[in-house]
Amino acid sequence: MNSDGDARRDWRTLSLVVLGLLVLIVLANLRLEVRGEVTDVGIWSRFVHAALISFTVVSGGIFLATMALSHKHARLVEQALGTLLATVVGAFLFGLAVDSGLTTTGAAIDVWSQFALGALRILILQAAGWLSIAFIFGILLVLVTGRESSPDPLLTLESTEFEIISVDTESRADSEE
Amino acid sequence: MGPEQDLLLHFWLPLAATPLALALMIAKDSPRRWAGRLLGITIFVALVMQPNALATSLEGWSLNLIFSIFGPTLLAGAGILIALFSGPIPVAPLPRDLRPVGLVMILLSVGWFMFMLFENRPFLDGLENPWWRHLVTSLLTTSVIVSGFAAAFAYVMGDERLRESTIMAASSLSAFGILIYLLAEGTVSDDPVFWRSASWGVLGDLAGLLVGGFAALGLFIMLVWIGEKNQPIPGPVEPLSEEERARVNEILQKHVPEEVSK
Repeated sequence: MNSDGDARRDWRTLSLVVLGLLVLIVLANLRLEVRGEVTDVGIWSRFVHAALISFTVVSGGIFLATMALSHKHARLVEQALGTLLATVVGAFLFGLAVDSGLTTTGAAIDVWSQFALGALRILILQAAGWLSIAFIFGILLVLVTGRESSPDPLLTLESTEFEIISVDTESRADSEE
Repeated sequence: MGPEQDLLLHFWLPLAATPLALALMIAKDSPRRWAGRLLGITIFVALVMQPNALATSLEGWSLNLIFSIFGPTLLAGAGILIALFSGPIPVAPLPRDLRPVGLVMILLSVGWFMFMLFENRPFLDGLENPWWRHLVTSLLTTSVIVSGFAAAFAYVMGDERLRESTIMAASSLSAFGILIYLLAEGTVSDDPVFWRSASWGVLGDLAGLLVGGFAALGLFIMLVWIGEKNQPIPGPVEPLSEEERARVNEILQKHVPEEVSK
């Protein structure tokens, strides 16, 4: 458990846990793929399509949000032009990839059908991701807040009071020990 | 209009306008907020009023999928909120007796999802939803990662959170176990080969989603940085007017009189 507050070490540990789990899932799937017990998925083209569509959609979304939130004092020329350009470039690269034969199974091989299929795939994946984040961290919050603890003396203070107070931290620490 | 134009008008256009509606809804000025709400309602109406049967397109099937998982999702969300706000926290508007009800609702939602997974997968007009395996494998894969992260997070960042970490680790292992079971044994309606293909494909999509999404966010951060760098140096600030000076003095006198009298 963390006692000295080394944030960098803590986040490195957390990143390694996530990476380890991802590798575990990939290995489990890879073993089955090597055994040839899957249909032809075309994982490489799925990866390229998902990356290009995700880049295009996120850039486009940020562009629209930038336009909606712009006002006369905001200088958003770089953001607006940059994200619009990124959206166009993403769409162009996607079209180029499909035209050069990098297609996925499950839809016609024209650009729009491939884009629609890829976009639906990543939208469902993203929805699943947000659902699991909300569910898991919701449960964690329920568990964490379920523990009874001694009342915090700071909670009795009013936020509108400007009186200077002193909290006897040393004696509190002693009593906790 | 043909089915493709219908899909454009009732699915893709509303979907593309969603970021605009969300951004308008959180804008500071009232007219934009109202425009955002109006756009949000229009999007909802356009999505709900599909002119064609849902089973005739992949877009329609994706809407059917959302309707199918709406029940367990709502039950889980309500259960979490009830359990949270009836617990021993400073802001708890609900009675303590309701906490077990919330926890039972969460368990029921998981049971409902399991029933759908193993016994009754979503279908429409006698056809099985083609997105179901994609959703399940996505949900299980992300659950393994998110639960594992939550377990490590609670243990590393928290103070004596062994119980919470253990529950989160168990949840991660359970999700992994279910995923492996599906890959090895399948379900009544789906052969394991299809589950393997779905899981393998999801990994490609997930990696692409992360790479593309973070690349776009990184680019946006870079653009903001360039924009900030190009801002002109601000000119000298106007001194306070008499009225502003009097107001500042009044506030200082009220809260730190000893500092003002120095």
